[in-house]
Amino acid sequence: MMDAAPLLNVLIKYWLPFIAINVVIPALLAPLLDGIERRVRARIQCRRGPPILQTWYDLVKLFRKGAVTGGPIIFRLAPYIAFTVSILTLSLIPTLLNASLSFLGDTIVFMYLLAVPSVIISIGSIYTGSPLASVGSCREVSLWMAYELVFALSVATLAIDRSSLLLRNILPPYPPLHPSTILAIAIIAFLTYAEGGRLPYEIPEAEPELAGGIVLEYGGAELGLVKYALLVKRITLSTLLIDLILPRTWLTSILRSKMWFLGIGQVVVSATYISLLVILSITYSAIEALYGRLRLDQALSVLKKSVIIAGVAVLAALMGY
Amino acid sequence: MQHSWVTNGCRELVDLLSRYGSVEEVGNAYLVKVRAEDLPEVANELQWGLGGYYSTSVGADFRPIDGTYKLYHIFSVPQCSRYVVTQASLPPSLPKAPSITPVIPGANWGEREVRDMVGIEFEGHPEPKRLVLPHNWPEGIHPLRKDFPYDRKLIIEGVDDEVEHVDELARKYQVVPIGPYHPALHEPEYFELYVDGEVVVEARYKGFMVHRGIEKVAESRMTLNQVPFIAERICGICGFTHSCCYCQAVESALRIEVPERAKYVRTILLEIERIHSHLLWMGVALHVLGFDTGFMAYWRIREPVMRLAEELTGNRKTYGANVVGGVRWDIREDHVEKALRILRRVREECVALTEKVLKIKEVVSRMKGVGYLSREDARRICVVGPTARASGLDIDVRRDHPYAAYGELDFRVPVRDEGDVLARFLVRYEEVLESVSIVEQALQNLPKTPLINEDYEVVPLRIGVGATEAPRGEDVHLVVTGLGNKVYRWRPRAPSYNNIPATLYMLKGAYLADAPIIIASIDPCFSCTDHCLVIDVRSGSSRFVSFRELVRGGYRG
Amino acid sequence: MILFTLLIIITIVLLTIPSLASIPMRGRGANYLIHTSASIASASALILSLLILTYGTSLSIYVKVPILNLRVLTFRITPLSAFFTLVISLVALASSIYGAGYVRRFYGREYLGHYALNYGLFILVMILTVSSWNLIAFLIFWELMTLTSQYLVSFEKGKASAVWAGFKYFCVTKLGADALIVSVVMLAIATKGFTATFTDLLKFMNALITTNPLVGNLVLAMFMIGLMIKAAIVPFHNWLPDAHPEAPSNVSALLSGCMIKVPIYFMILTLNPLPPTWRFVWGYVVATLGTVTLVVGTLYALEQTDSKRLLAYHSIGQVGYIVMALGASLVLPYLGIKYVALAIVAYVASLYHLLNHAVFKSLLFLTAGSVIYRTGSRDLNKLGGLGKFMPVTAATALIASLSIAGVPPFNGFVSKWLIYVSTMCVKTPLAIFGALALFISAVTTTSFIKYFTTLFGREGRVVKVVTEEVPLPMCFSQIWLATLCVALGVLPLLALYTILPTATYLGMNTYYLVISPFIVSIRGYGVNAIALIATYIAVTTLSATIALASRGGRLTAWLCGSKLATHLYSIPGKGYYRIFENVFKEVYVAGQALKSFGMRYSRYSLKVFKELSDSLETAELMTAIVVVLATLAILLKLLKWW
Repeated sequence: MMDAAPLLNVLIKYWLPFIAINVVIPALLAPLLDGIERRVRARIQCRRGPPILQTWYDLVKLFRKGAVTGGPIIFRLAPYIAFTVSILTLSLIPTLLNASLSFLGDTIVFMYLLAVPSVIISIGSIYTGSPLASVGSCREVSLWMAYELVFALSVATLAIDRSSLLLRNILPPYPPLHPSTILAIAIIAFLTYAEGGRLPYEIPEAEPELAGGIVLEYGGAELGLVKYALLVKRITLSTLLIDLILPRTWLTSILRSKMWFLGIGQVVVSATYISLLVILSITYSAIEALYGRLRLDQALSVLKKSVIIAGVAVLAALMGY
Repeated sequence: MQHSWVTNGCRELVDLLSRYGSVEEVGNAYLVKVRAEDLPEVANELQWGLGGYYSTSVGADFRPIDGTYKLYHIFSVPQCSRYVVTQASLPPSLPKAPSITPVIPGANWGEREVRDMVGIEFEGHPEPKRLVLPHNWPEGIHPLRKDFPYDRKLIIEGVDDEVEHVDELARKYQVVPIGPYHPALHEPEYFELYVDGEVVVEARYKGFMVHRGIEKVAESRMTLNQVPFIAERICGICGFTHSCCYCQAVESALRIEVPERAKYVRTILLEIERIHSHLLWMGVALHVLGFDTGFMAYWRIREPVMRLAEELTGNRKTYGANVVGGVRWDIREDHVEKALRILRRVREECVALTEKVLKIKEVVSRMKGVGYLSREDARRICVVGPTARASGLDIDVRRDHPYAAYGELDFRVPVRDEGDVLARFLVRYEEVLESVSIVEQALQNLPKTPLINEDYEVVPLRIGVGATEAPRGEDVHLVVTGLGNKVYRWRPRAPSYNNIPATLYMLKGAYLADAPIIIASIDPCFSCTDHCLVIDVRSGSSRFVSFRELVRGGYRG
Repeated sequence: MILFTLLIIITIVLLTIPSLASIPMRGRGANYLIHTSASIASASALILSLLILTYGTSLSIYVKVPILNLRVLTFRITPLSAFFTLVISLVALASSIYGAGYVRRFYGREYLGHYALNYGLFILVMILTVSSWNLIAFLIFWELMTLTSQYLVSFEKGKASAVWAGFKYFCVTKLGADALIVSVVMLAIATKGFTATFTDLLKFMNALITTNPLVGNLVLAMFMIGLMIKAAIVPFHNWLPDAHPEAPSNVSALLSGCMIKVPIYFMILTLNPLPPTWRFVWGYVVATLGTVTLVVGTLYALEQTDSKRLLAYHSIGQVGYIVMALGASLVLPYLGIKYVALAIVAYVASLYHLLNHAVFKSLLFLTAGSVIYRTGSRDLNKLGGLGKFMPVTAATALIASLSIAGVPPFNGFVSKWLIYVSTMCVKTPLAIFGALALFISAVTTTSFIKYFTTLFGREGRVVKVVTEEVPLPMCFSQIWLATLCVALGVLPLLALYTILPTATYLGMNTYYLVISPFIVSIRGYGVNAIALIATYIAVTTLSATIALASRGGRLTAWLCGSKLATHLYSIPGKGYYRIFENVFKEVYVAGQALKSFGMRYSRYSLKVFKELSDSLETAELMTAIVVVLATLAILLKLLKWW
């Protein structure tokens, strides 16, 4: 368990490059990943598909428009809060650089901040009184509750195993690698897929059922922000999975010792990270193309079964496996 | 498949009808003039006693002709291959008739529309509310009466009062609107769902928001041979069926013999329309379930069929091929070869794709057991088409009242009895395969005759019933020919008219998430049902809106 | 010294004299008299407790019988009891100022003089209970606490549900809590004599546990169960969802915020000095019961459609958090050398959450009371749309909802974060408890999304009210508590400042906790940057709002020319999470089993009392008589006349 204080000092000194590289670049990448997903899905459906920058074009178009509904204040403020919090969440986890805003219990803070965008948008949507939006919001938070249970148990598994709640300590390398850790990472892989709002779990925003559900009432720039916040949430989740698999620190140190150029380790790791992001996007998109949408009760039943698996993982970790 | 009694009529039926009034044979229908008081009894006999099926009700203003209102009820009696049209004459001073809805619940909408449009009152109707006209339309003005000019613009003050709600329900449950703009629905209608959490407790329907007044226009300013083209524009993907149905009605009324080749061409184009309509529906159903890959795949399979239609008729849809007495376009030799090749490919791909789709658990679990309609309810509401066949009712106009070339072709009518969305999906799938087989038979046996029979005389005030099996079910047109090469009364009844009330039964107890697929499972064609005129209230101008624009969900306004 | 005496006298005098004086007054007089004096008294109690905590000393006060020079009642204000007094007085201050506006709705309907009597005495008695050191004093004031609070619960004599709730509460506590506690205390007194104090009680129990483990644990269990009934731990909780909603809202705040915390004071006092093995075992028992409570309480709260009942169930849940953290703090020192630091963290978490819960739960009850004041309704299926009429209430309700949900930067997050940090990385079942606590935090969030949006958002379904904001005193209290929520979240120093002296008093090692203004730092572990995050969020949100300010008008829903009854589109409270409740019904089945166990017990106690007394007043009278007789008996024994 290292003392985080010196790291924080370093961070404060280099905060501008840190934010620029670790936060801004992934945020800019998020719509590109979505573009890749759309393209892959189109090819699977025997279509040509939109260009990869299409999501960016859509967002820019939305940002240039005015909102149509001037709703209650909470409703109008929600996209901004959601967006800023989702960007903030990116700084808590190592993305391109191995650095992140690290402090005791930051895993918990990470989980809370990850939840804030969807929760605040749900509050805003129900507040408007639109029936389809409120049904969508209720679905969103019901699903989120189930996700949190599974997520909490998986994080507990990892934390027990490493005896720490510091995100840095939970990430690889894992000497020794326990079966409970593998199980927890598998569960988190499922969660990062589902929480990103991908079929068959694209339930709150179900367009044929709810006309957009939770994002229905938004239009114009606010809709753009909401979509962007959800895209950043997706990339954060993918980053979490990648970070749990990719042994960054080990790789960086190995490369640093083997090669004379000091920075090459970090550059290689960053490149690996980006390529893993792309590979993950392609995989997720391929999986998504194979599924239709589940109903809320069906999705919750699946999550109930995952709770049992997560419980097994925790018990295994407690027993030392 | 020939029924031995196709051209024989039915002695028992005629005897039954003779008890109530004089019976006249009009083409494939019996016209029986009954007294208004006997209507419920006749309806009961025909529907429940004889096992027939109620189709629709039509009201007509005959005051300029003989000073009465006429009320028609159309029944289909499959075992006799005949339609029965009961005609009741009502005095203009008291245009009242007993309602047959207590006997046949499916007559609910038909009678309400007659009341709105012609002004005939129905005694004993359980739901005597406005169907087509808005709530604040002034009383006593009925658009289909002959003294209401088609180009009259009514100034209506104020806004429509509040949509009615079932009060006790509304107090307890949340109201979730599906429509009038909703991505699940391709046309504007309004389903009002009362939900408890996510379970639908009750559903109400309000439609006819884009009523176009096609019947009035056709009766007022169109000639007999112009109507097929406006009939085709009632709907985008079942247009040809409507124009065939109208032409058949006129041909039945004027006793026109349609040449054999024209019948075969009509059959081929009808079945091509059915194929692409069903494939479209299967894609849309999967889209509503969220399975977009399946949606894209079905539409990819469908695309060659659209191109085939374009090759054959010049249009992907809205073929414009029908005239009274025959067809305008011929099918050439090289077309036959190409069509057979395309259809073979469609059949193979459709079979392969559907088998794969049915193996996906998530998709099937969203369709199985969802939107159940029992056989009894289906019979009572008088649903038609694949919706009826999926609930165990063995009815198909092509087999029961053979028209065009169906009498000479061999095909199977798929019937299932599960009554859920999956059953409807499978019925339509099997129908696609049957349609491919029908087209292949027809293409290989095209007789060499002329295409149009223009040797007929337009006799005014002759009544005719045309019926076809549209992709969505039985399509019935009633035509009364008018003076001077015009139509006196034309009532196109699209199949969705009978099917939409069934959704309200199916929605009860269903999950909200299943509401779109349930509504979609009857393959609703709301533009058929509504028939749409758009009036730009700001500029006062008006124009027709095409189906494609409605699908796009807006107009450049 | 003089300051202390002055403050004590002010508190006691201002809570007794006006209470007694307002008995003959019906309405306005009673209202203003009691609430002003209660406010001043709470303020002075607040200052007193802060002073005690600053100096870290203990104050002992004796009440002597003059002639015999005998200490009949002993009070000791230790840092721990000062902390609880702080909690009580914070809530009492808000509640009293709020009450000045709120009880106006009872003008002409109820007899406010009785309310005033019980209100003043209730606050006083709570403070005196936590301060009592003499077991006799403890008994007397514990009984009085039940008595006064029960009267307040059934204050609205016209409502049958209120009367019944009060009666049920009375019976359950009398037959359960009081019986058990009184019996244990009597045992102690029997051994040591009438001047027995808590030290004697604790020595007695420790001795018993070491010499005769079975009997000792039994006695301890009796005492604990008695306390748990009063603190509404599952499965002894089912009096609370009936009792708290029926009381006037400011009293509900006091009940939820203070009264159910009083037993926790005694739990801390009793469990800490236990011998190590038993401390470990009881720590686990308490932590397990706490987890069960927080899971069951909150999941039941999810399906409520009555605003105050929902809050009452959440009180049960949050007390579960407090108790679980307490249990963890008892267990952790024995789990390994690296977890010793976490023990103090868990303890701090427990008390921090206690303070936080008092603040945000009373704020929530006050907002619910504001809604009742203006609309007269508690039904979440019917209310809605109050946000635009009552902006202050809505804003404070939002802050309170976010606080209880544990969203940074509000206070709930800090205490919950401390709980997770202390439990989740430990290789014991405590980690599962921590994970469940995290899950329940999510459930709390969704439940409060429902609470907040059904009251203030959408459009009212049936209750169509065009109203205005509540009167100034009520606003003031709400804003005061909301500011506390934010302050305690952004400046944990404020809370730690009050909690750490209690830890030192109990003999815990506070070396590992470092105090700085904005952060809670655990030596050797790292830093918690709450305020950093809060500033970031605020700054970026503001700049984003300004940069992307969008224009646009307001549209209403449309249906092709018809008007829409848009109020019917609002989702009623019961429709929110129906599917979640159906899918996870196993939890509710289990909770039902526990509830029926508790219900059988309360029904039994109700039956017993029904036979003894048929009306409520008689029951009260009876208790009063019993208390008086008991006091008399004790006095006589002291004077050796009997």
